[in-house]
Amino acid sequence: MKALSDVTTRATLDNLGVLIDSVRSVAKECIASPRRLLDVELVAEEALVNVISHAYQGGPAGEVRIRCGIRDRRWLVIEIVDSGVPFDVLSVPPPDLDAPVMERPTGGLGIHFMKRLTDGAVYRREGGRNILELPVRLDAPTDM
Amino acid sequence: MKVETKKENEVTVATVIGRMDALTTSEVERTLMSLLDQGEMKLLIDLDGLDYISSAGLRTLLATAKRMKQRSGIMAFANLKGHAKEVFEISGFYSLFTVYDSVESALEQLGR
Repeated sequence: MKALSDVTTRATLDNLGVLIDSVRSVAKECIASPRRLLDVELVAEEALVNVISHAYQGGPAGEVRIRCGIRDRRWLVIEIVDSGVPFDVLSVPPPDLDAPVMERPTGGLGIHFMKRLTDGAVYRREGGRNILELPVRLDAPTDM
Repeated sequence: MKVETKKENEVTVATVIGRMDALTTSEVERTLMSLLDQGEMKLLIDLDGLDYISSAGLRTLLATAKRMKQRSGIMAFANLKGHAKEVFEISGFYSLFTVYDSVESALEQLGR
């Protein structure tokens, strides 16, 4: 994949806007549907917030890198890399979506969104880094 | 991002305008919690002006709903559409909460 955007910052909430903007600017060039653009933004936000909240627990925030490109003219691929604790976010079981209000946990939905809005997401641990690849279809409406 | 509130009979209508993401949702949370602190028992959240919502926004809505439930209050939504509707559907929130087509129809039901 040839990266059309490539941004590295400290993994802090302050930088979330800059990181998401880099994806948004690529997505705007190749996605016509406003709804689909928001899906892309949602995938990027959830994946980044997950890294910001959990990757560097107990220590100073390390770096997060986000790259974005187009694959086979059909996919917008977001790749997120951090050097935090090993964590395969895709292995997290889905939340119970039918639980009543009082029993619904307040977490876990972000990862669920990330999985639902991408096709064939891949996690790998390589050279002490977590690498998460999130392909979003350019054309398709979300499979509901 | 802002929240406008008004009272219609016993129903408090909170209209969310803008985005509820990881950076902005705390502002909405503050407003909703202060409404709860004032003892409101019927809360209608109007999402007509909501442009974007992520799991951070849903967490705020769920936390508000839990507090409302604890005191046997009622919380419902109106004007769910587009992206916000999709997010409600994927998260199961759409079947978890009562969602009205409009503020008017909600007030008709809740104001009784």
